[in-house]
Amino acid sequence: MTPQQAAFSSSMSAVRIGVEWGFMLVCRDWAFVDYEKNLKIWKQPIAKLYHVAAIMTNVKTCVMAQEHDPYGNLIANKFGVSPPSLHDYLHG
Amino acid sequence: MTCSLACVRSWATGINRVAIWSFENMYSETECWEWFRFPKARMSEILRELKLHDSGCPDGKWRFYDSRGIAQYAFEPMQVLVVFLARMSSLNTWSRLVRFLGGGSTTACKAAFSIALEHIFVHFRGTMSDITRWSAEADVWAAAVHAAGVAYDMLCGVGSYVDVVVVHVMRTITTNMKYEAKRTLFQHEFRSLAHGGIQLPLGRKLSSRGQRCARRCTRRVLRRIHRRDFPSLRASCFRPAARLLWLLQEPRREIPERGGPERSHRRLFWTRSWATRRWVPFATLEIPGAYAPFLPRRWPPLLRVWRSGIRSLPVYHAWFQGSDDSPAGCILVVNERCAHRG
Repeated sequence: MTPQQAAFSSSMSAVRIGVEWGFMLVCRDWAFVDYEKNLKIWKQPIAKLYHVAAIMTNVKTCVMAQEHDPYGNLIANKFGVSPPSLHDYLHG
Repeated sequence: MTCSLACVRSWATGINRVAIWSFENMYSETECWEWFRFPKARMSEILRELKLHDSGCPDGKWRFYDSRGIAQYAFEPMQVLVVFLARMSSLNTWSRLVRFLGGGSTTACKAAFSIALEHIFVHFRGTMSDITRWSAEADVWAAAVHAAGVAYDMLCGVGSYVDVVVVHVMRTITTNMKYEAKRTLFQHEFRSLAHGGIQLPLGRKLSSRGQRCARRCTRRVLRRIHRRDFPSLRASCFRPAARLLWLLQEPRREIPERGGPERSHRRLFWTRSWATRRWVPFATLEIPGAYAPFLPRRWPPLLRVWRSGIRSLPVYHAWFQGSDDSPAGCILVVNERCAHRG
């Protein structure tokens, strides 16, 4: 690994964990989509379930940003960017 | 509001149920946090914003119709939301949830859940499928990524991340791919589905793609994201100077169920670098520019998938990021500046 690559890797490692946090938020709040024994392919709309769970995670982020802190979740807190209001997110 | 919480016996299920369902009287603030994931005071707002407060019927109730068009169940709007959130947030079976939800039959609860699921998916999937919706914030995202510690000259305005997660599910054993309700066929095996998503720095998921069988899922989902999402995303969200898009994966988590973990792992997520001839972590990318003069004659097998996309793009050099002993992630970076750095 060249010095440029090493520098790039170290600088990116601080932020790439945020990608995993996004999936963690979905599974943390909506445990149903993380329980394989409940998710039966060809019997349940699993993709639809995960899609809706992600939407509800975004809804919770918007609600929490108005309720507690200006960020709503740890990813927004790390990057210092506030989400929109719930109405703007769903109907904006 | 006068409500009765006196329990009456349900002859259908044998479970006590409340005479009049009332959200205000049945659930405390703590229970709302634990089971619904939202503050109790905000539930009515969420109900209204999700457009669940009015079903369109004269009495405002949601009705579940069977295949003959006959209404089997009627639910209060808040009851539909409560059933949906409680189901999504817990691992309990329906029979255990029924008592918390006020009694009644599990079939009725499933009906309420399906009403809410279908309603939210139909009305609000555009919030995630419309990938260019937040293009006005692209500069804000890029600045946020830069402020978090990424050198700006390395990331030319990237404002979002892409990743794929594997969701393990059960696959019902079937005969000729048809579900059969017979005794010996009620076995399951594990399958894995992949969902790909684009994550914004502000913590909202921008897009979600799925579902794909996970044995070769990551590549397929990423390819789908590239083909459908990235052209519009790049056109609207990325700055004109952007030359760099990157994907992250976590290879060690994606162990296919067949072929042995080591062999499949290497086949799926490692490829041989044409520069060093070493096996390196594999990632996929979309490169803006004409890359054809710099492509090797023999393509690594996995990169062959991207050949048509890479060929027409003007980038001068590519290098792999990551090493054999770094399972945290892998990045394939293409940046025109790399040509000058050698």
